[in-house]
Amino acid sequence: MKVNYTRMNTITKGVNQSGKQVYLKVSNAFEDKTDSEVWLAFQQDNPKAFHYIYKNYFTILFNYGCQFTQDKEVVKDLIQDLFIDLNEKKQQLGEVKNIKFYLFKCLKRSILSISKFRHLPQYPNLLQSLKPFAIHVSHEQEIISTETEKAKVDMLNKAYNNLTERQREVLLYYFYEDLNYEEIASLMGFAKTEHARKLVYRAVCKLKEVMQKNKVFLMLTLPLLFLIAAFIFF
Amino acid sequence: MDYKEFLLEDFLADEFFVNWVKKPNTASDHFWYKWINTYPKKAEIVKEARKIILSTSYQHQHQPTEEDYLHVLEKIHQRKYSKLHKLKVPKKQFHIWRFAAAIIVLIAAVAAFYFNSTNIFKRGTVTAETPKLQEIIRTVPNGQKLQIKLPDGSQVKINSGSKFWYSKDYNQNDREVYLEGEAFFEVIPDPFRPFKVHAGGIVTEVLGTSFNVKAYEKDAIVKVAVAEGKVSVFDNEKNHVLPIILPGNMAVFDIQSGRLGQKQADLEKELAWEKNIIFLEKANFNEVLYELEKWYGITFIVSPDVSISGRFNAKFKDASLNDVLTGLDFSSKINFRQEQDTVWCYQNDLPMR
Repeated sequence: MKVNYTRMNTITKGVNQSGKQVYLKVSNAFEDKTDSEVWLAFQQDNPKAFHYIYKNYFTILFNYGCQFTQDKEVVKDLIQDLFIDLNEKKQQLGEVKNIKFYLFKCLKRSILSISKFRHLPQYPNLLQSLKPFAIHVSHEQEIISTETEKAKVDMLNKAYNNLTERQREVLLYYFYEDLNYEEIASLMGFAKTEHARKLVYRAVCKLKEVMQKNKVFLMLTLPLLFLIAAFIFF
Repeated sequence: MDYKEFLLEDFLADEFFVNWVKKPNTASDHFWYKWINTYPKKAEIVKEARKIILSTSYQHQHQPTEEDYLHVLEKIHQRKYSKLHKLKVPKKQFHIWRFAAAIIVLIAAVAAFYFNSTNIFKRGTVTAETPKLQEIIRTVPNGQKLQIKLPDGSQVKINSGSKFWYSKDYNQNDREVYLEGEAFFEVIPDPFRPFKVHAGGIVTEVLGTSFNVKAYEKDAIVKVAVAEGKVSVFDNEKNHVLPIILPGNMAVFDIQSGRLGQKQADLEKELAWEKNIIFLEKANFNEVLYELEKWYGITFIVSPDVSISGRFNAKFKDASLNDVLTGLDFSSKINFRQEQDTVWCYQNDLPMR
């Protein structure tokens, strides 16, 4: 479920004339601009554009990074280095149409590049994750009201649990993060966009299959149990 | 396939449908409401698909604290890289492994020689394998350029501040070279031995042509500009292979994200260095200094009170440093003074030293 971070996200730290820390409101001037426009402003040294990007994507990036590793310090460090690098090299970078996708790609790449240091004793949790990209549907959602709906949700959760890590990863990109197939293919390291579509298709087929199996199982077993119970009783 | 034949999984895999569920607009609303009215039997499946799409979310939503948010932002403003940053520079690791491999080969060689001479293996002969790691390395410092001829006759012009190397058995089975920095290649055609340049995380493969590779360590983008013939470019893992690049175009590789793309090249700009031309296009002061440091093998020391915000466009052919500095016409207040390899840049008065 999306959590509301507005309080945290609308402030950022600044230092006023006397050196005391103050909180400044981040400009909302970019709210109705496209990603390409925001990125261009960022490349042209507009500090408001940088803050807008940081404000909008820090939390999302943090959650994304934490899917790969339990070590939250590592995730924070990587995000820090990523933004410093972007700031240093912004003029050289090309056009970016989807900032979220671009930042995801950068972060995933740096996570993979440090993954070979997981044997170092100072990073015991590097690349250890509870269950990467675990998906869960909660009962509290507004679209779920009745008891049968709740049973359906449980079934869906069971189905999600049956997916492989890559299948869950791809479904989160596709259904939750709103990335398109082309971006997903690039993030997953596929040579062709078609491969991303196939992976999604296979994942949703498996979802449906598991859900239906559960349905059939319920329909078959309940009367059977009833029969057995009746048989024993008499 | 038609939407009316769609099953649940087809709706879920359809980008247009998912886009409507996640980010509806008047156009997609119009289409889908009309569609459901026309095929009311499908309403149930659509409802189910919508539910699945909207309910998919992370089980573990990791939420940073307000301190995290501010702490990282502060470090970014201070331009202070984290302790992990050193780790990510891959070269060091590479050298350690090569060093380890060299030592193992050496130990094996010594051991083999020792056992051989003491006649422990009386019947068989153990030959110490000559290490095949031998490489020919050319390092070109700032202020110099180097033109070399490879064993197959191909020409390489290496730009300042670059390192170029290839194995001793180059041209036996393949033609592979490695580059950190910038070089211009004129490759002798050989259909059986493709010529490969490894630089900045990508591989450039050609049969015989001329092209320029730019991959300095400081660069965010690796560029491969094609002057003649055909070139193919792919990343190290061969995940992304670009379509053949034709003259006048270039491959661009974004190191940070790993994006590989192709666009039109301004050959005059990309190949200027090879013709001894300093080519500046919309360069800021720092970029100008970086270019000149590389070109003339000097170091700039800029006094902190100097601030130059403009962008510079210029071309200098065979020019001396003095010509360039006066030609760029920074500001009458800015002075330059050269002492051997160091150039002081200051405003009005030389700072106290």
